Amino acid sequence: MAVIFIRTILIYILLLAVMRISGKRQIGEIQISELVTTFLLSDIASYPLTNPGIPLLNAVIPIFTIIPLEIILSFLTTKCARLKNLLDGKPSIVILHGKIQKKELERMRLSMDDLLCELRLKSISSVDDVDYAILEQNGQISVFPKSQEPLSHALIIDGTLNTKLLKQIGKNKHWLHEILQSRNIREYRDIFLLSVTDSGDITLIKQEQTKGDSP
Amino acid sequence: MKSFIFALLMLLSVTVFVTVNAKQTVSHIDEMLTLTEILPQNKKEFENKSPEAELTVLKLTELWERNFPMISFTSGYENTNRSDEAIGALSMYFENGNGSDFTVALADFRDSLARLRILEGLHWHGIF
Repeated sequence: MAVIFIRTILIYILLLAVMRISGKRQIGEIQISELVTTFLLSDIASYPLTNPGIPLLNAVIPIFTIIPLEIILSFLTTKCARLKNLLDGKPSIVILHGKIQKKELERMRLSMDDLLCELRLKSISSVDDVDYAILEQNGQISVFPKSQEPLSHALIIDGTLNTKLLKQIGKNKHWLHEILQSRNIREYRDIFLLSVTDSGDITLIKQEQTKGDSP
Repeated sequence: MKSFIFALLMLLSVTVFVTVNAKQTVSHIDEMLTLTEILPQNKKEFENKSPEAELTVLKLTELWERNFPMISFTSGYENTNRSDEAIGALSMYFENGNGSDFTVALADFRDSLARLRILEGLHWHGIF
């Protein structure tokens, strides 16, 4: 039984890593850890049902191992942005102001056909009409046409700066530090959310503003 | 936060249960393996066996019968069947005075116990 317990943890971690490496397009609408949990639980639960020779404990132990692992991981990813990025990755901009980001497409193993298909499904005929197309962490592509309101970029989430995004929108740390200085903020960790639109509108929520809201 | 604490407690409970269970099972298997070592290992030893050998066989059979449900409960009948058959044969050949078949059954029982020990304990070979 100890072997089953250790194997469950190892397979869970291995599947998380494999699904993470396989890319966002494989996932669907749920997070990687949820997908892995669903995979494993459905298989484990059916095993002793169809084979009476296998003790029920051989299913119960893995189930009672995977469920808490999933809850612990979900909790930790909400608390630690780095862990969330490690597990789920970051959204990737694949079209920026009408220009296809070829490197990003290759990195995400997304073909031009797939991208054009997604645009057509969203009733967009030309790449030129797209302001932003973002491959989200769950594999979906969000498309923002040029005619829409300016997109808001979340530069800092829960104290963690997205340096790649900062560079992508043509800003730098010097610009960011000036904004923070003007609002008397010394460190990123004091910020819960800092987002900026293409037109330069800034939304800033401090960590202290988010405390004490829950009943 | 509540669900996180609940999950931690659940994982901790499973870890404790699994560890205690593994230690108990391994200690029972070790006890049986120790008993097999003092039994006659070949035909010659069987012919010159001491009167205590019968008591050892009885004790070994009793230990196996007592632990069989628990080991099967965690390891499954597929993994305990071989030991169960071997101890039956071992006991029968001892009663019949068949020394050569007894030593074969004893070796089979020891081997099957050693495999169970790998499966039930925290052993690298068992995990991988």
